[in-house]
Amino acid sequence: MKKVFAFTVFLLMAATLLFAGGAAEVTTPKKPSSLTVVIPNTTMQEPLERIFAQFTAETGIKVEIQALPAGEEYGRLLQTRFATKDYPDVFTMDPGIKQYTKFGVDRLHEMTGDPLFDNVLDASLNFQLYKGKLYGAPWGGTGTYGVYYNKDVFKALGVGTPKNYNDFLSILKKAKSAGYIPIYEAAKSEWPLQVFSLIAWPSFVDPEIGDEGVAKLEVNELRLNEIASLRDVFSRYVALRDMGLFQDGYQAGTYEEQMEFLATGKAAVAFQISNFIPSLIAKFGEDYVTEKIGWFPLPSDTDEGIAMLTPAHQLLVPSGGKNIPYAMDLVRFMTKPEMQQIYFEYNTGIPVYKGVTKELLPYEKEVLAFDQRGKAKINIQNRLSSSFTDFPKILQNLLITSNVTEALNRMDENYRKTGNARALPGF
Amino acid sequence: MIKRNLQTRYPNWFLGPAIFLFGFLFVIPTLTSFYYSLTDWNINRRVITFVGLKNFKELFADIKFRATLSNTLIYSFSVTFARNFLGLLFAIMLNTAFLKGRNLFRVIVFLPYIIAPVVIGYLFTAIYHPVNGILNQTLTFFGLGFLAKDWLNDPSIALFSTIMTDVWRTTGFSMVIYLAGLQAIPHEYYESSDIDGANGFKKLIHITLPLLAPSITVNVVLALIGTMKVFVMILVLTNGGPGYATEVINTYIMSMFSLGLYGSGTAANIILSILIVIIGLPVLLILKKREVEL
Repeated sequence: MKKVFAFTVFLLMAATLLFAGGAAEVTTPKKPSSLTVVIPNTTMQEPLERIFAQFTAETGIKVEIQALPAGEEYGRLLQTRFATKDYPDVFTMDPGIKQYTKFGVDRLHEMTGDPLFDNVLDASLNFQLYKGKLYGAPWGGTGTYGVYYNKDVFKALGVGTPKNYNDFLSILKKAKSAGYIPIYEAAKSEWPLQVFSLIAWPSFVDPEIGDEGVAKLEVNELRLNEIASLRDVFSRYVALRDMGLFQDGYQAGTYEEQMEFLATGKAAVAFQISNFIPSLIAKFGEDYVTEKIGWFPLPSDTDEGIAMLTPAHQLLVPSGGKNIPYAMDLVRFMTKPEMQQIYFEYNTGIPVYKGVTKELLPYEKEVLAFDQRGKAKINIQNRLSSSFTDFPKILQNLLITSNVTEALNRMDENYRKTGNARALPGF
Repeated sequence: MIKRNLQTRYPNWFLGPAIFLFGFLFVIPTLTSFYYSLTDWNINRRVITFVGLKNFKELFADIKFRATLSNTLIYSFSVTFARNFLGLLFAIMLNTAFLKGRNLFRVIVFLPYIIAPVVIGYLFTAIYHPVNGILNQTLTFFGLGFLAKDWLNDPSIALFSTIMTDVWRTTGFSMVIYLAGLQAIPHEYYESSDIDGANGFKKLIHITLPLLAPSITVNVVLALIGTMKVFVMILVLTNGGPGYATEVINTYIMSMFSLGLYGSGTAANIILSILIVIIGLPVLLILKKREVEL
C-alpha cells in the first residue's frame, strides 16, 4: 500500500513538474528574430531606424517598421488588425486614455509599475493613467495645435499676433486685401479640417462648460449639440469661409500644399498641429522654419486665447502579441534618455522624459510660456474616452452645406455611438 | 433513350463536394451575416447581444447612409446606361468588315478594362487635378477654359467625375460582349432585309437589337450588379468626399467595419444585397422575356 502511495505521489510530482515546465514554455516565448513596430506614415523614420539599429546591435533582434496611412485611417487599420488578431509587437498611437478604451484595456499589455515610468515627468504620467493603471509609454514630446503664421507676411502687413478674435479677423482681411491667401485649408486631406474647432475649444468652449462640463461629457451627461459655444465655433468656421478667407478651391487643398504655401509666404496662416513643423524643417531647413514660422493660439473674443497642448504620443503593446517580453524590452530601449535624444534630433516637442535636453524652438517657448501662465489646456480629444468619430468628414460636409445644426447633431450622435460601442459608463 | 443516358451519366453524389464548398463558403456565411446584422457585435463587445432591427433603423435614420444609397443608385444606373450605350456603339462601329485597323481599335477600347481600378483611380486623380490636370489644361488650350472644373472636389460634379471614369474603364468590356453577340447574328437576315429595301436604322431596330437581346441582358445585369458594389474607384478617387458627395454603400460599409462596428456594417451589407436582388432580378426577368431565339 505504501508503495502504491509513494508511486502515486511520485507520479503526481512528476506530472506537476511536467505541466509546470509546459506552462513555462508557453508563457516565455522564444527570442524572436524580429519585432514589428507599426507607425503612421507621417512619422519621420530616420530616428527610428537609428534607434532600432542600436537595439539590434544590443539584442540581435531586428525591428521591422510598418508605416500605415496616418489620420483616422491609422486607428481604423490597427483596430482591424486587432479584430483579426494580427497584432504588431509595438505600435505608436495618439495620446490619451481614449486609445485604451478604443482598443480595449484587456487587449493591451498593462505597463503599470514598469521601471521606464520612473523617468517620466509627473504631469505626463498622470495624464496616461486609466483607472490608476498604465497601458502606454509616452513617446515623443508635448506639442500643440494652433494658428501657424508666416512671419514675413505679418511683417509686410505691419501686424503682430492678434490680441482678440476681431483683431485676428482684421489681420486676415488685411492679408486678403494685400493679395495673400489669408488661410490655407487642406480640405482634400480631410484631417487638418479638425484643427480650427479643436483649437477653438480651449478659447471658446472650455470657458463655458469648464472642467465640470468635460466631466459630464465623459459620462454622457452633457450633449455636444447642447453646447452653445460649440455651435458658435462651427458658425465662426463657416463664416471664415463665407468671408472668402480660405484659398480659392479650398476643397482641393492638400496638406502638402498647405505646408508649401505657408512656408513660402503665399498664405498668411494655417490651422495646424505641431507635427507638421518637422515636415517643414525637413523640406525647408530648421533655420528657415525658425525664422519664418510663428505660432499663436486661436484668440478669444476678449484676449489672446488659450493654448492647446497635445501630450506626447504613446507606445503600446498588444496583450495578444507573441513576443511581449521582448516588445517591452524594445519599449524600454526606445524610451531611454539617449534614444529620446536621437528622437529629438529630428522631431519637435517638449520632452517628457527626465534627462533629455533639447533646445526649444521659438514657438515651443511661446507654448511653454502660455502653459506657465496657466493659459493652456490639453486637447479635448485627449481628455475624453469616447471619440469625435468621422469628425473631418463632418466638417468637410459642413463646409458644403453650411448647416451647423446638422454637423453638431452628427458629431454628437457619433460621439455617443462610439461611447456606446466601447461600452463606456453612461453611454 | 439517349437523353436518359446523358442524365444518368454521373451519379448525384458527384455534386456533393461542390455543394459542400458552396454551403461552407457561401451559404453559411450569408446566413450568419443575417444573424450578425441583428446584433450589437462590435470590436469592444465580448458578448454579442441580439438587438433586433436596431441596426437597420439606425442606418435609415443616418443622413450619411441615406446619401450613400442615393449616390450608389445614381452611380449604378448612370454607369450601366452609359457603358452599354457606348459599348454597343463601339461594337457596331468596330464590327464593320471594311473598317481598316478595326482590331487595333478594339484593343484600344478594351485596354482600360485590363488596368487595375486602383491604377486608373490614381491616373484620373492626376488627370482631374484642377490646376495641373491634363483635362483642364487641354480644355484651356482649346479655348474652353470656362469648362474647366475642380472635377473631384466640387461636390456638385464629383460623383459625375467618378461615373465618367468608370464608364471609360468598362465600356470596352461591354463592347466585347456586344461584338460577340453581333458576330453570332446570321448574315442572311441582313441580306434578306437588303432585298426588302431596309435602311441601316431599320436593320438596327428590327434585326440587330432583338437578336442582340441576350448580350444586352448579360451586359446590363453584370453592369448593374458590379456598379452597385463599386468601391475601389471611389476610395481612390475621392474617398467618398467631398463631404458625403460620392459616398457609396461599400465605402460606408468599410468605414463601419474599420470603426469596429461589425453589426452595423453587416446590416449595411445586407441592405446592399437586398438592393441588388430587388433591382437586378426584375431587370433580368424583363430582359429575358425580350430575348429572341436565333
